[in-house]
Amino acid sequence: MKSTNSLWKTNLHGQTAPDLERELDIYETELELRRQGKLDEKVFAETRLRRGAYGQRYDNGQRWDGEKTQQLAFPSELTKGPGTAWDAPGMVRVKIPFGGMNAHQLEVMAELAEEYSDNIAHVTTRQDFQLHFVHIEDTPALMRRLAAVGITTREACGNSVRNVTACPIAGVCHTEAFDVTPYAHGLAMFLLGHPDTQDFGRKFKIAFSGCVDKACGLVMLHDMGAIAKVQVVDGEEKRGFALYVGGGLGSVPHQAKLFAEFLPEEELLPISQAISRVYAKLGEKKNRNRARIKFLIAQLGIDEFRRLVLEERKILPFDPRWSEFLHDLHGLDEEPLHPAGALPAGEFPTGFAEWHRTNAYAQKQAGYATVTIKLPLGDITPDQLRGLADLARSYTRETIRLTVDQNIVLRWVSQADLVAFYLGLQALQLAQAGAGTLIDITSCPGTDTCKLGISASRGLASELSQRLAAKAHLLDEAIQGLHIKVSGCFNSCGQHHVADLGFYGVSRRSGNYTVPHFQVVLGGQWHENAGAYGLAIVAVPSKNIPAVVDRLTSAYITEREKAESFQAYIKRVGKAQIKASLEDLTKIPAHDDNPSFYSDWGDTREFTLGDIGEGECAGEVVSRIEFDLAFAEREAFEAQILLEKGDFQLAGERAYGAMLQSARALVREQLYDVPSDPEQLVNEFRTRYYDTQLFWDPFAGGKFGQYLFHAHKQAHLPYSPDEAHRRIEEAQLVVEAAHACYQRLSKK
Amino acid sequence: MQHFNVKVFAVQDFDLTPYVGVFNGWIQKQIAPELLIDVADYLHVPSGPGMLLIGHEANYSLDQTDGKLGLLYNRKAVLPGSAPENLTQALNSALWACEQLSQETGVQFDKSHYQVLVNDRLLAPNSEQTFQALLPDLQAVFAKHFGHSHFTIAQTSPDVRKRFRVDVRLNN
Repeated sequence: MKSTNSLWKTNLHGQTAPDLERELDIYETELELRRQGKLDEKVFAETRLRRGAYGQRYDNGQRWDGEKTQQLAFPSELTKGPGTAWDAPGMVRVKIPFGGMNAHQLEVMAELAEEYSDNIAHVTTRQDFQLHFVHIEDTPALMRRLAAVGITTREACGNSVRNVTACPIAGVCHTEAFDVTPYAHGLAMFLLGHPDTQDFGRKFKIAFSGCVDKACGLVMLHDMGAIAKVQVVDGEEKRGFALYVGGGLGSVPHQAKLFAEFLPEEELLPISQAISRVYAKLGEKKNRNRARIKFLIAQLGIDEFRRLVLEERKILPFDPRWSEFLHDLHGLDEEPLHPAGALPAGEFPTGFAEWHRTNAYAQKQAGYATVTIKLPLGDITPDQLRGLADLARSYTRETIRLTVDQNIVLRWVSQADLVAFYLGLQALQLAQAGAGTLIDITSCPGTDTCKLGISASRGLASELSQRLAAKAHLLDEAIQGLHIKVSGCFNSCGQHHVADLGFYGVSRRSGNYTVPHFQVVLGGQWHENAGAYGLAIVAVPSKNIPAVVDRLTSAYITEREKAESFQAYIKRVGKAQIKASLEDLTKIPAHDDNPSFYSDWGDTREFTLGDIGEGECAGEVVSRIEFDLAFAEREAFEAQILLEKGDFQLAGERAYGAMLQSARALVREQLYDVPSDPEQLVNEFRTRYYDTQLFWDPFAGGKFGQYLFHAHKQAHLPYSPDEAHRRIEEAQLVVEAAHACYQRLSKK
Repeated sequence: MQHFNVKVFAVQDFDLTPYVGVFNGWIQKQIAPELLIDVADYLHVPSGPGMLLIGHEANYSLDQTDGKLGLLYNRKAVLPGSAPENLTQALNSALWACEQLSQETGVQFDKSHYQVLVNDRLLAPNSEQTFQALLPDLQAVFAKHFGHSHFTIAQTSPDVRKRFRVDVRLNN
């Protein structure tokens, strides 16, 4: 949509890491191929998902307008995925490993939110940023601008390793075994684009925590989680991790299982790789509802899964990167900007004391604080981002992290600077107290933008926040530390299972109407890395949920026994009694008596389930070979572009590359560890597909295979214009023959 | 020049909560020249984008940036015209939306005070150079709009990180 999209490539050339630039060139080519109808919509969908470009509500071109389902007349009939209109606005998820950012990166996020999105940057529950209402044609330029400041959206969505998260106070925490930051970063970089993570049936989420009993890392709800641990081995302190696998929320939450009591640090990357390979080989691919690794582990049992992983570990080809990152463990160490100090004596500005109590964490480094900037529903404006960047430069060495509570923390603020820092935040309207308390509510996007949302989770969270904040000073101390988390549906993106008070969207029929409801989830535990999951006890109309919160918190204040936790209170009183106490709130008034019950929070339209679309959380289940062949097609196309530009040598090489990629795609079907060396690859292809005649065309025989062998033999020679042209034509035929071969084999 | 935004300030602040319904009504009737798609409510964000009506070619919003409420027209799709033509299109669209809101809800907008910004840093970096380059077009469009030249155009911020933005005010 932007007139300058094509200029960013030239404008940023030289400012971007070559691998990221190449990656984005590939994406731009794929986008062009899809626009020309030369790339299958399903393959393109997974392609864009793996670049972080996600679908959004109404992208099927339909929207309930309160009276009827309206067809949205987008200009183009092209699709960007099955049932997904090309012109429909979408979401871009920006991966921020361990949530770490610098000031310039915040400023670029501000620019992108203004120019491509809706003037809001949204922090997610997995330390990502998200931008909404972005046109697909703007995404390459947007991604290039991110790449120029060292940020990638690669594998932010789709069936891939998602953002690697970590405790936001790692390195400054009093109770951690050690700083997990370099390990989270090392693993994130190692697995990004790794060949062994490209054939998953679903997404794979990883988290790091510095200690067992705090919540920060939420290890137990991840596909793989690592908790820092120090063990004395042969009289020497050795770093490692308690490694957990198979956790996850979703509609069927699973607690992670202990894979290793103590995994030495040097085994972190190879064991993660081995786990990826076992998951890729044995994980479900067809039924996306059972494709997360938690189902594989449940099916195999943790002992058998562990055995398979350790077997895989033994045969892994050595990779020097496994230990390289360990030589630079202090590369990400942070330093303060100002000397350590103490909070000055005297009178403080209005609101400071409460803000200091809830939002400033005294670091283990005496005289410094980590400050939480509480964001309403995870949202922040471009002006606020720039202002925060200024504060980060003025008071810290830009030590910024996003949190899984949808907030931002600034670390290493001298205690002596806290008052001035607070005033700076006040000027930005970012000084709200109550971080980590009852009023700091987490919510997924819900019906605002998510295709799967049933109820308005953000609408409810906003309403609850406003009501609770208005009486924050009156709230009993006993309930101030409770957590409220809201999801728009059972898929748990709002992490409702681990809240003290969790809610997830459902609906109920009442006469001829559908009424938005939320299930009330109790018994969840935020501490001990999300140590226990709550269960739904009753569905209540959305408009009665604030009353549910009031009633449950009031009952806890008055009925709790000395120092009894909320979880212990719920357990003692029993869910049956609690459910009974909410019974009157489950009643739906007649439509004529109170029509407001028939629309959702923040939405005047009569409620419907008709807007729910096909989710893209799971990505398209595209087989590895389809992906590899699409890659080969794209290389052949790029060769054409290079030929047009007169770069005959590169054009010829790219065409030869397309042939090799076609062969690689087929060989991988029979040999998991397909060789990267062209000579070995061509030999494998010859033995497995040419000599067996599997690759032979019913009419042309072995001709297309011979094109590959010839091109391989000539690969060291320079390309003339004619030869480059011919090689491209041959490459296209080889790619087509590989497609045909795959189809013939699939039918068999 | 493309991607002009025009903001027309409200005479006084008003509660934006009901405007989710108003904008939904616009989608229902598709009353704008652009394809209207969805409503985004950011009233929980102080000095934020407020209440947005998301369209394909453009967004309309009751915007609260800098704590100043106004109707903002944000042109997203490329237009074929010259800079003055495209600015005029944005200005007219913003005024059309103000008129529509006034008729529906009675709110009033200050037709003597506008903000114009270019939502593309490559086309229009926030600099004196951009200001000088665009000034003749801005003057021509607003002279035609006001019917005279008794108005002032000034850049709102020297911060190079921000988008190019000017205030256009009628002189007293």
